[in-house]
Amino acid sequence: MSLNMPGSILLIPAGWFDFFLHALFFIHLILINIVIGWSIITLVEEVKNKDIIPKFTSSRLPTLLAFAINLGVAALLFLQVLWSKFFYTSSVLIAPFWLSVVFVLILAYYLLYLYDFKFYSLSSAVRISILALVVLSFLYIAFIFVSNMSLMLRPGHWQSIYFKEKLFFSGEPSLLPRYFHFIVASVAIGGLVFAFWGSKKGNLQVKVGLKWFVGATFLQVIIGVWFLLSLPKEVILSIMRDKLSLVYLSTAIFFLLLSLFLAFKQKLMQLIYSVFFLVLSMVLLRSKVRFFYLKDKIAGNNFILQNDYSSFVLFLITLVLVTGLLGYIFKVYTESKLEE
Amino acid sequence: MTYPVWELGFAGGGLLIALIGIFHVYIAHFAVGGGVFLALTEKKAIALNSPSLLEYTRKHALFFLLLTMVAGGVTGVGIWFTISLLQPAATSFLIHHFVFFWATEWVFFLAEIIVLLLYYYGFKKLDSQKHILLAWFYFLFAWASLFFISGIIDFMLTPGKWLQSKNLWDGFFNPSFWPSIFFRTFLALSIASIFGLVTASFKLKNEERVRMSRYYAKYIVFFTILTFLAGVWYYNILDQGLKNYIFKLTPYYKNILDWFFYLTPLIIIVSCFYFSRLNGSFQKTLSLIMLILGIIYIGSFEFLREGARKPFIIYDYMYSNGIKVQDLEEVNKTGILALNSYWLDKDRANNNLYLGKEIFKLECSSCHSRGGPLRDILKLTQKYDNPFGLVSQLTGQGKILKYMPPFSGTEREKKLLAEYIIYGLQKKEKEIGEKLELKPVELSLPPFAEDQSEYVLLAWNNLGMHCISDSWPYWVLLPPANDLFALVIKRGELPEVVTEGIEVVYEVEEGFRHPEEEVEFWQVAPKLFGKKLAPGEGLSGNRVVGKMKLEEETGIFGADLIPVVPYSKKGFNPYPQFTIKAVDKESGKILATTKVIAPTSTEMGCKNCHGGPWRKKEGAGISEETAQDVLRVHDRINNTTLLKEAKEGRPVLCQSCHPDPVLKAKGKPHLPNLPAAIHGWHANYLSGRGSEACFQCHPASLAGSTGCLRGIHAARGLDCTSCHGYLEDHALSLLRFEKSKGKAVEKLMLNLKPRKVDSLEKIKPREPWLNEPDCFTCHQNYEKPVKKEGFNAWTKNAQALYRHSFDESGVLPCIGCHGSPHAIYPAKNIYEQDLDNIQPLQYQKNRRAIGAGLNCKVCHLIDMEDEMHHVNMLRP
Repeated sequence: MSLNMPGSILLIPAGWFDFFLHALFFIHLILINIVIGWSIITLVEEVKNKDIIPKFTSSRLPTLLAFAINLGVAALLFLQVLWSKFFYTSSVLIAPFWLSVVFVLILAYYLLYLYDFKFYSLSSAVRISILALVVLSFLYIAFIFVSNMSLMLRPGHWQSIYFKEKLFFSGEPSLLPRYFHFIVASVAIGGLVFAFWGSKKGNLQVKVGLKWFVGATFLQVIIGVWFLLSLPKEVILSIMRDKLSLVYLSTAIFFLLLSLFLAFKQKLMQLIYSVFFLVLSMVLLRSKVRFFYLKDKIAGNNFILQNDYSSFVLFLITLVLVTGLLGYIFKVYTESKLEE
Repeated sequence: MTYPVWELGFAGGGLLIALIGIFHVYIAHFAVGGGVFLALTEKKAIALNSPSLLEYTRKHALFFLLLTMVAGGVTGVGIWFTISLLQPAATSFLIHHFVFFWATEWVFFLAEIIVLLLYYYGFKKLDSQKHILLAWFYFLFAWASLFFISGIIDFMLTPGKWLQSKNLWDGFFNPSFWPSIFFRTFLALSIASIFGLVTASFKLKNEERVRMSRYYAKYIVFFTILTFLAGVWYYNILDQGLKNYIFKLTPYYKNILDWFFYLTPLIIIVSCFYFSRLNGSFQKTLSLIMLILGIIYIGSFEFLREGARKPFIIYDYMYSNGIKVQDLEEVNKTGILALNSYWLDKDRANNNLYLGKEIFKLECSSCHSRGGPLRDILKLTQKYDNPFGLVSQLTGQGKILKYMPPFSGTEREKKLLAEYIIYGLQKKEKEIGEKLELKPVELSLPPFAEDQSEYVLLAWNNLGMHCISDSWPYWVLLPPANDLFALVIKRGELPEVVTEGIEVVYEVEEGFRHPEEEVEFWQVAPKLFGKKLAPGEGLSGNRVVGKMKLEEETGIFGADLIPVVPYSKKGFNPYPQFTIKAVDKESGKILATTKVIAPTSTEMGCKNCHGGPWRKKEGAGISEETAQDVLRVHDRINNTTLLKEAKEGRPVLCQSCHPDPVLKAKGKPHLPNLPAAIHGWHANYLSGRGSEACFQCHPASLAGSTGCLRGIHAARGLDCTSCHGYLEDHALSLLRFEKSKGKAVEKLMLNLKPRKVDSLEKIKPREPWLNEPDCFTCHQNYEKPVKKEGFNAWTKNAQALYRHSFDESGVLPCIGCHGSPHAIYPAKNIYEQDLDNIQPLQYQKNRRAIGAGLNCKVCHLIDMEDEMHHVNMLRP
């Protein structure tokens, strides 16, 4: 059975899009990990009636979410260039859920603002309820995202889902481990970033943050193995046969161990670098895995390369100019000390 | 095309995207214009040295941030999600072409967020000058993102030169780009001032409230006027034909255009209220009303913009259902199901309703909801009772009226879709294909004694197939008007046509004598024909019982426009029998008697496509519903108001506008004549068919209630198309004639492909009723036919018509001996086999033409040796 997808044009070589996709996804991933991780950690701390973390995160979460969404949009743009056929198809198959993400996100976003603005005026119980709703929303959104990103890799499942023979999340062994992998990673990154960011305020922040990081990362070792083993045999074999994938995998394992070690030693700066490389190698490995899933299907992915760089140049020039302008604006902003 | 379809049912037809889209654009325009007002308001607060006004600016900024960044920003992503779910092919196309324009827009979006956050958190931190500068930067970035997204949106509406050059920049800087940039910029500023009015009404008090409201109201007035002017520019960029189809002929969009048009002054007027001092709660209410007017304003604009793009998602490149224009031929050949077989459930491959539903999803669901508020397919197809009408609609769709894409797929798929809509969605009962039960009629032959009778009376009707349209009080195409003729021959060795001292009277059979009791023609006749007719009186003064007039030159007696109708107390019968008598004027003695039928049917199947039932249960007559729909459609297409006029008691005679030789109607001379218009239009919808296309309007089908095609030609296997061509050919012959007269009929001709000949140029133009098929095309030299193909060889003029032709002696009209057109002897009538053979049976006891089979004695009393009427007549 052929998918018979029509070809589409590609303005400039795929490598460029791959680069932007991964660069932007990487930033988005870190940001969204912080948002989700912080939301979970803050909720738990609220329940425990501890306020060091909530006080810190409440006012920063809405802004972080704004940037997480913004970067996510950009990553999604480039994803659609390279993977439109797969991504659109899986999105259509889960259309109501996929679209619901938008509304749930708006709800969570407003709730985060509510949590921030009314932090001192609301009772703890109300704050917990608000946060619980936020966490549930994020868990839902994450589940739909992970489901979609998994389903786009599985053309073999599409027909039975379209014919309503099975549900979109059933029959995919890697879905749950992938989801937990992502959520637990969020907690780890959330803990780490809190430790780092909060370090200015005191050592207690570092301790609490790293506790979350270490706990989540230990759990991640188990989930990671589960996730890896849940991948289809062909994909695991492809990883094993592909040198670059093995390099990514071993780099990730190395930085994982190193990160744990550095966390115990409380070497924050080094830890940040180590986790940076850990996440980077994970992102690159993830890209490889996506390719292995779809390598048989990509044959039909016939792009017609245009080599038309004109709009790309426009984008680059804009990026440089706007970055410059923003730099100037930041300078103006930080130099102002009207009331500080 | 090869994506699965998300079919929304109730929320389909664009409702979902409309709701998300309008909500988003409202906020997004607020966002763009808002930066300007943040800057101006803050500046004003500083200038007035008013802390309360500054605090108001801060609150407005917070409201602005929460609304534009959260709801506005995320619903923007929501639009993107939605279009990729509903139009994946088009979205993919746009992304692949404009990815870096989108990426550029994203850069500005990012900068917008950063600057907005800095602005909001920078109150009290920055000095006012720098702080105000941030607001201007915000405006700059927001406007830049409008700039880039507009290019893509307007590309979809007017791809312009891109269609040929495929150059990205041609697509981006397309014909509607600049008008749209100006339009949206002004619109953004008006909307931002409306939002300003709302926050001022709620957050400010006393003098400041009044001052700021006036301030915003002033800008609303100013920018709304500019928006309107830019809108006019925008509108005028559009193609004239498109403006006509969408904004004049589609009531849906015409209404929305009206809304948009009238909202402009309304918004300005309401704004003017703010120049006077308003009570606080009234002002709050009024500001909310302004907010609602604003969303209707922008909503109607977006609807118009989307509507102007019909039937495309990317103009002239991709149809709204995702099928590319260039792929149409392939889809028609291969079939839409075959091309999407990946998404077909093989277990249901034999379930026609399932297949029809899949075709609906692929071709219709992008614009039509099922039962929802937008373009509801149930409502739009309600009038169709059978798949035939809908198949015809699908056949004609997109040909003349361009607001829908052409149906793409095979003929079978077209039928599957129609069946799904009729039986699956409308849940209409399948019409049982039983043959109509006809009430047989009785026939008794008038007397004739071969050895005693002195006279032979020949009588005929000149139109063997004849309809009247009983669609009064709405419209009339053909009034009750049947012509009968008679010829009196005095028998003898040299028989002669006699007229001296003779009169010929006619009388319709019992039951048909009071047509005025059966139909409403006499109520509408004065309005339609400008004549006051006594009940039962025909248009020329003749009644169904009366005396014929003699035409001295030919010796033929005739009565024209006899108002006979096919209805009697016994029900429907399209063949009323007339008894004709030749009477000696002096003595009153009856010299000869015969009978003839006056075919007059109301079996015009307008209902097959226009909906409604038959007027009569026997399968004939135009019901009120059908008649109304005909006018409704005519009004919609031609911008007329016929239905309204008819409902006000002014029905319409088609020929009052469309010239028609049959009624000698001049009409409006610039319009195509009625046969050309009516065949030309409908041929677009009924193309690709055989004689069944003709049967939809003419009562020729043997399965119908009239069976008018009953002469020898039908028995020999000929049908309508044999002499008249297929409907397309027939229509083109009429249209070419009108075109040669300089009439604008190109749009009717554009999609009609000749079938009997291989090119349009080979179709000979013909004037209706005068240039008709010529007997001699096949019956060369009165011989047996050399072929069975009469199309494209027309009689030169009226004199050459069969019904006006004479034998070689110049005494006997052809029709007198051979019978009426379409009922040439020997004929076979479905009501009574010999209803059309009365005279041959009466005079010579066979069913052949008068005199055929060496029956010269019918008139001559002896056998003849010379073929004086025409050659090849003396055959056993």
